[in-house]
Amino acid sequence: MSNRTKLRARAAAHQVLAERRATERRRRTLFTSALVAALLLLAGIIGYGVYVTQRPEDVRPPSGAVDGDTGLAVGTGPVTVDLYLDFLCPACRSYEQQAGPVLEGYLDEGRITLVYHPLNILDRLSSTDYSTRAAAAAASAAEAGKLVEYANALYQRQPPENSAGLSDDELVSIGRAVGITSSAFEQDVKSDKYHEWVEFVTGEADERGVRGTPTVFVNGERVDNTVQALTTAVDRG
Amino acid sequence: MTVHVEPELRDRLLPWAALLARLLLAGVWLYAGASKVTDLPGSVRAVNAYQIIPVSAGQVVGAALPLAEITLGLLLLAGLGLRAAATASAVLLTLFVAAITSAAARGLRIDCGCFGDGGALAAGESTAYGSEIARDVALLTLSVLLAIWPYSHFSVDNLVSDQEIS
Repeated sequence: MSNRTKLRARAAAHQVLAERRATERRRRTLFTSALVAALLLLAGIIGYGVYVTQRPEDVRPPSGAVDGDTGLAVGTGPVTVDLYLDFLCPACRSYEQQAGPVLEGYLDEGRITLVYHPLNILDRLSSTDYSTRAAAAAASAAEAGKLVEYANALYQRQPPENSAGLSDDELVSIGRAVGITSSAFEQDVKSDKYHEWVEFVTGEADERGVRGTPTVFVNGERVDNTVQALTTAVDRG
Repeated sequence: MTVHVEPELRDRLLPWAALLARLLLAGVWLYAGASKVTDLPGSVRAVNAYQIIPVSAGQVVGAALPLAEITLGLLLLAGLGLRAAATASAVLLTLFVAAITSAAARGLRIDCGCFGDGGALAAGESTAYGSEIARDVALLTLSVLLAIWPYSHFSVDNLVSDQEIS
């Protein structure tokens, strides 16, 4: 064999080897890409599965809950005012301070039905899920017929965001202070009886397009968070 | 003026630069996922606050994202399937930038929810769309560069590859 043919044969062998390597590399890239895609998809599916199983079923609403078991009603007037709130939310507190007296006036005159929808969207801003516990306690206070008084007292004692919030004992003593005497109230507040219900209400609010707190509806129509907007809407009936 | 870097030096530095980019992105994805994974309903609300996709689709996306983000972070950390992982990172960030831009354009007042805390802002809070977009674009650029040149030191990919990286 001449030198030249030898060289040519070697070059050809090199080329075959290089091509084989390239094919192998492509195959491996394809495999790892598929693996990455599958892992990400799997993680997403697991996440959704966890979310679905965590979603509350067979929720036990507090007695007297209205509006598809999503709200706590006060009064029986012809105009319905829906209030979506979180007891940890400072804006809800200031809304209560401004609009509270007006709403109570309407209640006294029998003009409105006031429906509280207590949410837990700010749970991550307390170390003890204060929003959930306060909302559940409000449900117990509603059963005792003291919702408006209790809600006011909760706002007066509102803990700052990013704190531990009030303890269950404090939630009970606030109830005692507004005249709730039943022992059932203390038991319910210290248990997690209505915690799932609060989660349920929060999910329903999300589906109704509530994107923050406070959110106010008058006869099903969204109104701005001002006293003026509230009175205009209620007066229009 | 172009800076002339010796090809040899460049070849030595690139795998380190890729490693740095990989670890930075991994950290961001792990943190983003971890901050949301304990509150999946909150993550769903954050997605729905954008009001781009229907609420039921928002439930799927919001619930799926945190664990997927953590998985992506782990892949980047390990350097496994780096080209594909960096591509996935770039795709997700592109979607995020588009969503935030859309929220800004429609005058929504929301937090991006990138690291938990999503949803509508309270009365006193102001939006941070500019910095949120700038951050995501920077991360997007890194992801694209890493997808183009996914050869870094200390990656699982190296164990199964015949590619020499100095």
